[in-house]
Amino acid sequence: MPYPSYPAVTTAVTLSAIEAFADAVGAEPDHGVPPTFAAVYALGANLPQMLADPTIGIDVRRMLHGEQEFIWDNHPTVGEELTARGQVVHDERKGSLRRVTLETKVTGTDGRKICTARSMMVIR
Amino acid sequence: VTTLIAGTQLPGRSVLITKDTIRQYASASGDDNPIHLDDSAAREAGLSGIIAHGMLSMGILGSLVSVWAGGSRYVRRMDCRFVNIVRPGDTLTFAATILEITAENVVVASVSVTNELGQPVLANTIVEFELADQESHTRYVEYARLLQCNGASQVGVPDICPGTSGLDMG
Repeated sequence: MPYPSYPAVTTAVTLSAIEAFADAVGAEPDHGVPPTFAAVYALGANLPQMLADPTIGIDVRRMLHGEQEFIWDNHPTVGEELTARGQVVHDERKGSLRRVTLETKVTGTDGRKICTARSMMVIR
Repeated sequence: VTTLIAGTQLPGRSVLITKDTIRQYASASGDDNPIHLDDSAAREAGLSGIIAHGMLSMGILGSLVSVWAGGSRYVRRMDCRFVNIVRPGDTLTFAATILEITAENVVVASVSVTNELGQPVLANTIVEFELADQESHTRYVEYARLLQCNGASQVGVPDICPGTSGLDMG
């Protein structure tokens, strides 16, 4: 059975969200959109879809973030509308642990490439 | 040039993680999983109390990479494994070593992120950032040369080597 993929989710990059995030991770205010704001526009968009997917069936209380990779073609700008498309690309069980990898591809204005995120979740 | 630069340490940072830091990150990221906010919920999940988001450690690293790069827009890649839980009261220390500068003028660095007991918090951590122009490239070469002159390789090097203000974390 192929792994599931999820409908696109759109996020608007607002100045207030960027400022709050930059403050929370100790970023310099003049350094632009913090790189891992991708946690919001990529993971924040698609992870809830995977967690709500009964065919994947993850108990969030038993889930830990195992690995994270971000690759950027471009970084978003304030005011840009981003579209995130997520799909499960890996799902394996070894012993008592299950590892599920969600891949998210994010595009911006006129479809310009922004980011590819791969999030590996460990379910105990 | 690459030979000179490989092995050069980038300026590091130590950050105390508190309950406030974690709450602030939960609010800013939208990740309000109760294991990060509520001790009793964390205990029900088999933990001794609330833990920090893995993405908080990676987020602080992102701020540091932006400093090395001279702006977030130059950051090309970040990759890590989350190998240890971070609790309120832990101090994270970030230290990085340049592995190479590619033909495309991309700096590839390996980062160690450890807690106050010296245990790794992130592992297999690789970051990549683009050098915006020849000037940035020259700045990195000069920085590596200064470190070699001073025989210094430890974190906090800008204090030892005046004239590297472009890389000084302040």
